[in-house]
Amino acid sequence: MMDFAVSIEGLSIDYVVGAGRFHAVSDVSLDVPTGRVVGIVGETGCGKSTLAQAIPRLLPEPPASIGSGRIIFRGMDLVKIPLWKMPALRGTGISMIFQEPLNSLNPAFRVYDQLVEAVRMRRRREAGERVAGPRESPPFDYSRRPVPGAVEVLSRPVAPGGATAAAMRKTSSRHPELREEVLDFLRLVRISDPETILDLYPHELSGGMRQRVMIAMALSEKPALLIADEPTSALDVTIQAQVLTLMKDLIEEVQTSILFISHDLGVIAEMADEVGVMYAGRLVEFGPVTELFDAPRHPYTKALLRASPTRYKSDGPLASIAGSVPNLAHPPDGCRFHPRCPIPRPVCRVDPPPPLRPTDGPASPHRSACHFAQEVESLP
Amino acid sequence: MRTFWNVLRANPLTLVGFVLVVLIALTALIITVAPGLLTPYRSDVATNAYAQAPSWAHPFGTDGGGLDIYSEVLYALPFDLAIAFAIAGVALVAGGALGLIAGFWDRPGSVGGAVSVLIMRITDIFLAFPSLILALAIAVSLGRGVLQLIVAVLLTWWPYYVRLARGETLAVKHLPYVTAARAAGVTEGRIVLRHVLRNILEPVIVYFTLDVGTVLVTLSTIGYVGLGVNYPITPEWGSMMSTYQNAGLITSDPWTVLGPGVAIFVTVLAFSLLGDGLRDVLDPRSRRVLAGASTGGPTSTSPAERKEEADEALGRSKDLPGAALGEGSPAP
Repeated sequence: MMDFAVSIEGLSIDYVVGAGRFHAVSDVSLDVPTGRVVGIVGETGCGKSTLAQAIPRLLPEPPASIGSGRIIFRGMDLVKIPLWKMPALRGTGISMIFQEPLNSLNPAFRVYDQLVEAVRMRRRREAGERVAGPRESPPFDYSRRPVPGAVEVLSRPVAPGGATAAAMRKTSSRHPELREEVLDFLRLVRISDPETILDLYPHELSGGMRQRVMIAMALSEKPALLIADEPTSALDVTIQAQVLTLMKDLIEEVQTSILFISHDLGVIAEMADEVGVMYAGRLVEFGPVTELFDAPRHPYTKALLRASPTRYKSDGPLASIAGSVPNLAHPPDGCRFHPRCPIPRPVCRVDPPPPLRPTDGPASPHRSACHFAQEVESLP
Repeated sequence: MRTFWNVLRANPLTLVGFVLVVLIALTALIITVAPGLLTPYRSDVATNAYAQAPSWAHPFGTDGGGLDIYSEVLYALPFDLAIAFAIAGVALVAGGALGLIAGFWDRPGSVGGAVSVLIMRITDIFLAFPSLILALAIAVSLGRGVLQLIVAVLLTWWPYYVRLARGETLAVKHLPYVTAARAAGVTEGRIVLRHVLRNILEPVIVYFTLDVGTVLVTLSTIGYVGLGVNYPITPEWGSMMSTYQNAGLITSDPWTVLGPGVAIFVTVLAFSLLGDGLRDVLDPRSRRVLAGASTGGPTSTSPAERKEEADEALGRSKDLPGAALGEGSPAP
């Protein structure tokens, strides 16, 4: 019996816009085992961000509405919990890193004030303020710091962006204990000169710095589950590489459970232990990262890998998937991928495949939602 | 404080507005505490000079009853200022709070949505009337008096703040940092009070500063049409002008009307200038840029750095390594 940080069962989410009803997520079941990194990959509009935001119930309802399914977290069904109880579960329970590092920090507050809010909140909750659900011991040790030598070698002098001496004194004089803890988390995300950062406003930081601060903020609450919704998509490639390296190191260090959302196959391959592939609101394939990438068992995954520039570079033009993403207000009958599938059969047009079945023997962790999963291997 | 000063220096008009407002506030304070420092005359005792043109002894002249216009204008200052601030302030707090509530909890079909609709429809009803006419109508029905005057203007004043605060709240509440705060476990009440309120504050405060002048003009208008306070008993600029004009002095002794008129003009101008400049002070982005640009002071040293700061403030921030602040160190 595995221990799951969060367990999603048959989740369906619709957006009701005007007279239309868009089936953004349909019958998705997914488990994030404790201490593991589960990646979700898919095209824009496949429902991966909707899924991510639905877990801490951050979707605006309406227009979104959770039709059916359960989200089990700490033995509670988050779908059934009244919304006013959710803040107690967010942050220390489920925390999130967002796509837009430029706008995810409040422009009116200094970095210190934003971080200290998170640290204070966690302390209050740890001090025994009533929190919905049974308490758990923190799953990992955050006190480990990066090797000081390495940091000093790599650290670069940071030009103060305008923190005045008066402002410096202001933050250093109050709550030295909180301040130390905030600094610890900034050091945890490899910010070499955290004292300077404390007194800056978000707009004075570069994109990569902002995302580091966001990560520090999410980690400072010591969440049981961290959801990273395209954390590097808005950054350019060099910064993306730095942030990914950082996150990979942090995954080793803090050993939290992570749900990692991305449209980038390379990023997912790098970060995740297990991968789910989403198409048109459905989870079409799920499996351990190497198996899924080496031997995909769904025609969509195969096509996606072929369309990825890094893995299958050849002299010819880059392969693309014929057709376009279906309109989710009227998804195709049967298998949602059949209009674009290279091996469509009559049955695919009528019968929606059952959600995820093991592909290689009943105990296989690699599962696919294709009627003809065995034939995918022979595809070009 | 130093940054505040630098921002003021960066824009000469703001500086003028700021200096004027400080002078006006000081004058009001002195008149309230020790009027003898600024004028030898009292507002309720006539001098023995009647209907005199401006002179060294009486800079704004005197009226037919022997009252020194300069002293009257000064004595009216604290009163006018206090009423203008009271009206704009109550409208700011009440209207702003209603607008914040109506903007933040506006989901249709919920209790909050119903409350929001109720607030906005009542606001619309008040906004449908021309505010000056409505204020005059209320002033007529309530009768003359200070409290009546305040109530009349206030009743027409709060809806603008509801509109403004609601609009700003609607814009701010969908920004990613509000969602990020929610994801971090911040409760809705705290999101409103800390994250949303702080970010709508800037336009609202700027509007408030400009508005003090507008309230003053409205007060004077009500006084001018003869519905304000009783002039010779309570000095008030609008009522002063009204009283002297009705006595037919505008042609024979124009200085009696000119004195309070200039006072209104200068005060309104001062608050308008300050309000415009305040926007720069309240926004952390423009604050840093202006502070740096005017002195080159402790924050930035080279022109290149200043440019970089300005660029960043303009939203042209770069994600290149080494931009603005560097990237810290790459992970070992």
